[in-house]
Amino acid sequence: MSTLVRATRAQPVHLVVLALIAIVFALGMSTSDRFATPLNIANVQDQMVTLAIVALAQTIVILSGGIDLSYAGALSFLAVVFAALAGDSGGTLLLAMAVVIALGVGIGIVNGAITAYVGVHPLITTLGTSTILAGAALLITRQPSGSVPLFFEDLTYGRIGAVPFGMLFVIALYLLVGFMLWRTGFGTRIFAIGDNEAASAVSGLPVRRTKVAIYALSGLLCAVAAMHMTGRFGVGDPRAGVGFDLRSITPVIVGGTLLAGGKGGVLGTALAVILLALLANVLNFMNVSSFYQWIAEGVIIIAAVSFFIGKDKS
Amino acid sequence: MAQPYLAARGLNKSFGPNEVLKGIEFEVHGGHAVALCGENGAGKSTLIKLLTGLYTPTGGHVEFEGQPARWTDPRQSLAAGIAVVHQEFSVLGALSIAENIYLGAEPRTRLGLIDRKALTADAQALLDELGITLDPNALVETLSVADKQMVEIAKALRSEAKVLILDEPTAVLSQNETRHLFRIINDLRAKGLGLVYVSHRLDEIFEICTDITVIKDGVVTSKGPTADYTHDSVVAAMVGRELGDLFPAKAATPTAGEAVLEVRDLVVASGLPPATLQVHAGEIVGLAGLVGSGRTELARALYAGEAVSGDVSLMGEPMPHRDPAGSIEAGMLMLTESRKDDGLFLNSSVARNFSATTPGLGAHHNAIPPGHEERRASVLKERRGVVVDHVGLPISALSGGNQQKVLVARLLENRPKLLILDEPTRGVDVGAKADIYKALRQLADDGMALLVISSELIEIVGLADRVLVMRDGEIAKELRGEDITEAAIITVAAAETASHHGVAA
Amino acid sequence: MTATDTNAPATPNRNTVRATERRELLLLVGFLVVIWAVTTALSPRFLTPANLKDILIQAAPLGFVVIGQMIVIIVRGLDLSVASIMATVAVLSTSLIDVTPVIFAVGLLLGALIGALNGYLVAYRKVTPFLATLATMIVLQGIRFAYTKGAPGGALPETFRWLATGDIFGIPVALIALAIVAFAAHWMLERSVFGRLLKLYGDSPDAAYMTGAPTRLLVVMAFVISGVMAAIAGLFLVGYVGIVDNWTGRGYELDSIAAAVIGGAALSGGKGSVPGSLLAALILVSLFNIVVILGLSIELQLVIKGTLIILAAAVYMKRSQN
Repeated sequence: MSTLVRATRAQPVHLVVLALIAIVFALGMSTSDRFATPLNIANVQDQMVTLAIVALAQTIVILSGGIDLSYAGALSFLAVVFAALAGDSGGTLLLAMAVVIALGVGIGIVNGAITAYVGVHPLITTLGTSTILAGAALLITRQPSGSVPLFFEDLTYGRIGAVPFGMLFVIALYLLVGFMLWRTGFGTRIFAIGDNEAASAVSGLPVRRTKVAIYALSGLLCAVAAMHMTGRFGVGDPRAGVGFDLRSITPVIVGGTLLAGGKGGVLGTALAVILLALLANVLNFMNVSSFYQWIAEGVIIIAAVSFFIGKDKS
Repeated sequence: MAQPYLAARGLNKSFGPNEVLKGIEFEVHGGHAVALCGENGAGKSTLIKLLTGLYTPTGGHVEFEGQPARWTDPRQSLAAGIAVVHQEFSVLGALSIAENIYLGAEPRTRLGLIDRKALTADAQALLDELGITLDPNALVETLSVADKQMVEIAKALRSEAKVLILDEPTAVLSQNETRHLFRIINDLRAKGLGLVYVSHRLDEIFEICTDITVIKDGVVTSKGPTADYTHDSVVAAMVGRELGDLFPAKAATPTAGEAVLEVRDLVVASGLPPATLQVHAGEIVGLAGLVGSGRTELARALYAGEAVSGDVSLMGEPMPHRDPAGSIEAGMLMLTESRKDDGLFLNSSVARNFSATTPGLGAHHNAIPPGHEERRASVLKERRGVVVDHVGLPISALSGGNQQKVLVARLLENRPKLLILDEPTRGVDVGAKADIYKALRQLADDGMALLVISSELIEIVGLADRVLVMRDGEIAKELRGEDITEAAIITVAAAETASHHGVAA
Repeated sequence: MTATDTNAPATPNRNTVRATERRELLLLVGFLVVIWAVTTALSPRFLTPANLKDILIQAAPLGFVVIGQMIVIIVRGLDLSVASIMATVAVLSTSLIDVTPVIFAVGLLLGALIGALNGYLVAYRKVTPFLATLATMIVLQGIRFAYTKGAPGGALPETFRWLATGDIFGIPVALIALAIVAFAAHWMLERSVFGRLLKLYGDSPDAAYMTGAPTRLLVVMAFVISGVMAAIAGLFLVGYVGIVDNWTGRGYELDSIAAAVIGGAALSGGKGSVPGSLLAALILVSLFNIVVILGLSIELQLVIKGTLIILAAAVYMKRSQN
């Protein structure tokens, strides 16, 4: 097996996703002249930044055999806190960033600690924290409020050619996490624990500590997503995160990462995010209502999962 | 003699009021291989856990190179040079061989990153040294069971080890694979390592071990150089009584009644030869053979219908499409090999486990009255010799022997015509073994047909009226009456056969 | 076999499976009593017949859903599609016809079919319950929005509304229906062979298969029951609210999982009870009511609910480890 294939965790299914991307792209080209313009392509990328970041976080958690449903509440809460503190100067912005990142990591540590040390199923733990944070966000403000410095807002709208800054940032994050999974002990531990927790413990791996670190990293990425999102909106929306808990899972699964953990990687998630965003964009051009996009998404999940049936059993 | 590498000095271990080990004296010298023998539950695993720091002793101490070692974590003993190959595999399928071998101790670059090139190279060097021809970058999930075992051993030896502890390493290996393992063990011993070898297979112990230590009920009953022992003297030290006492007398005239089970040309998996056999009312047929010879697969093919082709009939009635439900309906029941995996309902009560195949028995219109389950289960205490305070307790609270008795009793609730028992006494203490043997013989005398699978030759010899010996998925020979001896069985079962790939011959 | 007491278990044992379950149930009752008592002490408006009746009526739809969810969790499943089933059934069946019994018949059938589809994906296609029901949830969402073009409408028949809001001798019809369903479900779980097999399957699917249980059928049936329960809940809920909405029941998927877990069900399977689930549903709905009565911010109930979910799961976890 070539090193590149092993390092990227490339799978045959990625070719299928790539082919689908090509098909959807061709479909878009044939549907509208405005599809393949730099403006629209940049638009598609802007649409996927938040999802791309939380899906990246979810990939890490799912690889370790866990699941993080806290994004719905956490994104909302962090967005509201960020907008409340960011003010209108670089100084307040930096402070807000520091606070939001610390809170994001803190949320992750709580999720990880309850899961790893108390033994509560991560689905229940993160469902609980998500509910708490959703409530906290609404307790802070019921309506979108707060602000971010104008230059920060501009930054989230900035682009180089057809590539938004946000997208460059996302690419950097994916490369960083991909590198981490391949070249660090922490990365190997994520796969090991996801594959077989008991065997990992027998091998002397610090399973619980690693889990806490995994959820902390997930919380950190969630904080990053919340800041970008708030920059785009210009205000802190206490409902900003609604739906991202379940939406973050679809690209991970479609990208070939097993829900049971241990197998998969960030390449598949990246491709799946691109596919889903392109599909939504093209269907819009075709005047297909978002209602049918939902149907398509559900069918894609089942198709993707069916593809892995049989491989999952060992 | 020189100082031992590793020793136990008056080691005691209690769990609450339960004294598991008492005053254990045990030594491993460099260049020696010490067999640790004992029945299941004798305290072997506990001793290993004490020696590696997984448990802390309640009395006495562990000595490493003459100095008291106060390990509180296996990582400390590992660092000192004590490597363990566990009974259950700790290798991870989703990782490569190299990643598995160096899990948690990967070679690093100066920046603290994993040095992938060095990782592959180091793993390759280690595999070469052990004579294992495997690609270090291959995923472990693609390997055979035997190769996984080899990876496990390589993992244990990744750092400079002084003592290697092997807990039942050959349980899953074929004859050839075992031979290869023995070569590795002998090489390591020649290099001066001290080995601790835990196995139930006396032949193996006599072949590769230089010393023997026998534990019974938490006490060392006997120890010395292998040359001082015979099979019988080891067994006597292990069980503390003559084996003959365990087994009830066989039926005077074997092949008593009509054929209950008739199997013709059953192909268990494509490529395997067809199997033909019969089991008659009133007889116990033993199914012998090495692990991997296809015994369990044959039994599951009969019971769960996992077969390619062939005819199976029970009491003359053909059973075309079988699954466990259909087999039970027809009167064929099976005790599975692994209680914990597919026998017990661990979170459910003893009573509910007992009635699991017959939840509606004695209830009208499928409505189970309150307390019905418990009342039914009282038979466990009264007639089946199960020791339990209350049948409402979770079955996980019972000892292995009592759990097994509950499972056997559960099968009898269906009034079976044929019982298939896969390793009926695995993980069961000697007393419970004798009880189970007695119960099985009684069932045969009452006219039931029994097919018993066992890895313990003594059990097959002591229990079976007729023995079918399997080898490479095939019924190689049938033995009857006086011909049933351990030697006769092992000669057939262990005859050299096709080599297995992956392991260098 | 006769039910004589001579063979009955001699001494009650604290550690029997049943005694443990009973203690967990008592814990829930205790918790409910405490929060009710505290609220009563703080506000005279809480412990009034009208308010209690309100709480019970509001708890009814969640009560139906949690019974189904809990049964799915017993067989090691999870049903994320329940809320989507509620809305889809409500939208489709009320739009087809305005004869109440037919609405219910169509709705229940629809719920059963969707449940069967979930069960098929899980039991026969080996799709993880989480993903199978997630996909069903999204697909149903698309179907009903497409069907209604985003804006469902139409008046509900009077009898239909009466079922959800009316009384018989002062007892709300919805509660009578829930009581009947709950008794049936409780009997099924605790006394019937089918219920016994459901729990055994959840304890160990492999052992259940080897002891002859119809494993696939059990899983499919659990999802069918969940689908039917969600359908009933959806119909009662739109009847109560009076408006058919595409988002009817939104949040019930997670609330029902929360209630099942608080009520003693374990995601690892084999465990769960109707009384526990209903008590937990009542606790969740009470919290909402209490927060309103005490004049606290409504959002506070989310914070309390989230804390309660984690605490309950942690408590059960600790108990099972001891």
